[in-house]
Amino acid sequence: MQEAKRILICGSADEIPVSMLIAALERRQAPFLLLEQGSLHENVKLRWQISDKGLSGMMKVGDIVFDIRDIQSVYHRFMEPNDYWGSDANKQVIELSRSILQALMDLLDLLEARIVNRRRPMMSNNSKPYQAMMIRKVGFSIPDTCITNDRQALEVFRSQHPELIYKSISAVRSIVSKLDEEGLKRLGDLRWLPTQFQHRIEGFNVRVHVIGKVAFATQIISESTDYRYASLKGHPSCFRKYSLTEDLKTACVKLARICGLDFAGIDLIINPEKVYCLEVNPSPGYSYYEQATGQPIADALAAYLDF
Amino acid sequence: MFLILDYEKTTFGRHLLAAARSMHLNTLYLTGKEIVHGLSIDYRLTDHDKRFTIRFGKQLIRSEDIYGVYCGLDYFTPMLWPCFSVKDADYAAQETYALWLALLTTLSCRMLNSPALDTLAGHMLSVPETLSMALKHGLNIPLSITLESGSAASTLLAAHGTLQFTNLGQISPQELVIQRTDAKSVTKIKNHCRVTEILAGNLVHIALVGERYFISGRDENKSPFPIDLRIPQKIKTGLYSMQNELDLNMAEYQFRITSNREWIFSGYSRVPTNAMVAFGDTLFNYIVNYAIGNAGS
Repeated sequence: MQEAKRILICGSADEIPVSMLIAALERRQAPFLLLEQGSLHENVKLRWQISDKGLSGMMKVGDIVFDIRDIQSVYHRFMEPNDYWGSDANKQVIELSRSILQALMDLLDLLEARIVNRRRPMMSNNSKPYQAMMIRKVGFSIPDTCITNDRQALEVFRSQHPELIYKSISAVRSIVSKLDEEGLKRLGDLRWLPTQFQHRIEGFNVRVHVIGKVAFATQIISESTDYRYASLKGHPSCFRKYSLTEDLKTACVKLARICGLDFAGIDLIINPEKVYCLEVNPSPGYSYYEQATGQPIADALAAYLDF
Repeated sequence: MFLILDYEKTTFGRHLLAAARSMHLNTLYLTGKEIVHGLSIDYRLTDHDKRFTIRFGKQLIRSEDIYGVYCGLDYFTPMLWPCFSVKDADYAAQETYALWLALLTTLSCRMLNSPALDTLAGHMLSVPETLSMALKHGLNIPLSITLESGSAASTLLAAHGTLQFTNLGQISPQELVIQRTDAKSVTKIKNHCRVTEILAGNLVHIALVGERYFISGRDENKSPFPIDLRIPQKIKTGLYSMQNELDLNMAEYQFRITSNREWIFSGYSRVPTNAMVAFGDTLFNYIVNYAIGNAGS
């Protein structure tokens, strides 16, 4: 009798990381179900309970009804319903979608399945200095950091580190920028909100995607301070496969594990003296790196879910 | 320095401040507004160092001078930046949360409670997560069902009479107590909902601060008062291990004791509001002593 295992893919198939994973699962002929964000409100129903007897319940996706205990693994990359639907959308659709998402995410917190990734550990990326303290524990170097709303404190830090960059403290995406003359002029605004400054590190960027115990590394050659936005500044970046040393691979796998993440995108800067770790991304857009280097990240993710 | 943080001044915080001052402790009580608009902050993090200095008025506080913290502040709301645009205020709230999560994590002193990834004031789990954890630690729990519509919930309401109800479509879902008379309005809800059983029985609150229990019941006016009740060993062990897993130093747990003397766990809060009324200064003196490391653990 065939095992009734279920792999749930949650998100929008229009998103490349989701569509590449679906293609990889299809290549493996793995039994997955797509919970498409755009039709959650029409297609998905949950009924589950927690009692003295434990967790039990059923889920309906389209016409398929199954026991939640048959869920073997889940990959989720949902957007906040307001962001997905936009402000002009039907309020009832947004509310219904939000309620299904909430019911599902509450379930994923409890389910004994492989969840890529669990909700709470993903929050470590909400504070970069908090995450940096976890990064230090694994033995990576971190950039010297000063977070301040005090101009005088910044001047002391600048006297120690003449070349600085500044960036957001939280998970809100910001363009990492050099603190140049223009930036210094804007520092009058500093008192309103503490800002994160770091000494600028020389070296090359490496993005490591860790899936369980497997790691794929990509070297990024860029003249820009923030390679993600390099093409906007007319300096396109070059991506190539990078061979990690066994120690470095072990450290990356350990870091993802310490952060509680089954799948992580780890950003490194490597120079002859040190390996710096800048951050651990809990929902990495891996497709960009796979398309640029041909490394089979989606296949590895599919294999991880289809164990 | 004993540091008290709250979104705004609370009865609990004020009592704690009074208790700390009666012990001649150098104490600072900061609200969300004061944290956001009244502090000068210098936070440093390197491979080998983590420390900060904050200036509040004429007071200069170094991280290493802080020997105890009570944090009742979960997060910062965008409303704390009324002059900012909606987008900027939201950004400021996230940035400030990120900074304070790091600042509090930097401290090596005892905290009530240690910051968690979800709130600065310690882990706050959803109802199903809380019940699941309680079950894991050997406690009996009520039934909690997540289901596909209000109409399905109203069927359960007819059977139970009173339930805890949550409409999961709301941005910040609220737990409400609903009665049979609410069935008609609940039926109209198309969203997924959660209902949790409310069992009959005597309500008991057990505050656990460090390893000391403060037990309170409710009198006929529903006012908390101290009760002398032997806590079954199984409950003690379960609460203690649950508090450890939650990484909390202080919490108050709610139980119903049924007619057949069964203890049913129904939830927890990180601020012992019932023990506060029932035990008054005894509780606050103990909390301060515990926070600064003077209480026998």
